[in-house]
Amino acid sequence: MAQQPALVSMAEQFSGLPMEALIGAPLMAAAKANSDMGAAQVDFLLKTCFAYDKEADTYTPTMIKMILKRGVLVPVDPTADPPVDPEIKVVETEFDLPILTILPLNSLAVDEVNISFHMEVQSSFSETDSDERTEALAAEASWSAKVGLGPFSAKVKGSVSYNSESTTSHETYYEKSNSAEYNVTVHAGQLPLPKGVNTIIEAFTKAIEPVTMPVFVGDSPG
Amino acid sequence: MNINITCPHCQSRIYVDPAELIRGRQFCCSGCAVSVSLAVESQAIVKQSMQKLESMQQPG
Repeated sequence: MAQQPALVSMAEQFSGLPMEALIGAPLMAAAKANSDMGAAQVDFLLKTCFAYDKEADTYTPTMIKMILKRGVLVPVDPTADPPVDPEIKVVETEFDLPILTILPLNSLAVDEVNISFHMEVQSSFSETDSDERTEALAAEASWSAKVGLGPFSAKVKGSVSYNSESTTSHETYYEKSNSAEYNVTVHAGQLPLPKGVNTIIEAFTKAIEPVTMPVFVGDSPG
Repeated sequence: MNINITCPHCQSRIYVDPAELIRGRQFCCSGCAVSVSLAVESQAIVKQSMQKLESMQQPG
């Protein structure tokens, strides 16, 4: 019998896989995407929410004007004749607010990367031997005699047959196959704002100071 | 998406919808009942900034 072919070495099949690239490449791509998105957001913040002064090389926050209205109870003038009821007057105040605090900023980033690699290596070998031998032996004989007036006669008939068949078969089956599946799933979601940006917003928000409108005397500011 | 600003009067949080703010809506402080709104002269710059932000957040 011929020497059997060796089955596929599983260790050999898997040792050649570039596992570093398979795992590392999607992670690097996700990190780069996050970095690009962060850079785009910083660019947006600096261009939209700040005004750049080239000479001083400083960024000044872009301010917007807000109007604050509140009711003020006007005291009753005791000398008024006829007496008037106390009334609530609406006082309007303006205050400046950095535009940074009013924009719904958020950080869109890749927050989940799933890598799945499935590889199947199949290796099978089978060998079948069959040996069949058939033999047949057949013999036939007949005898006849005639007694009468004439000379004595006898007849002998016979036949022998021999049949021999021999069948030998040898079947060899060898199969090797491998299949691979590589899936990368990336999910991006909203992350909370970075602490630094939150601190800046908080500082601006706390620094809001109301600016009182000038007192109007008649038609012009007094 | 709502954002919150600090009330200049009582330091409470005022929750504001920027899109509605651009349309001229007033938002009341839950602490002292003052109302805040965006001045007409600032509506354009906020609208422009919001559009830039939306286009940045659009995928692709």
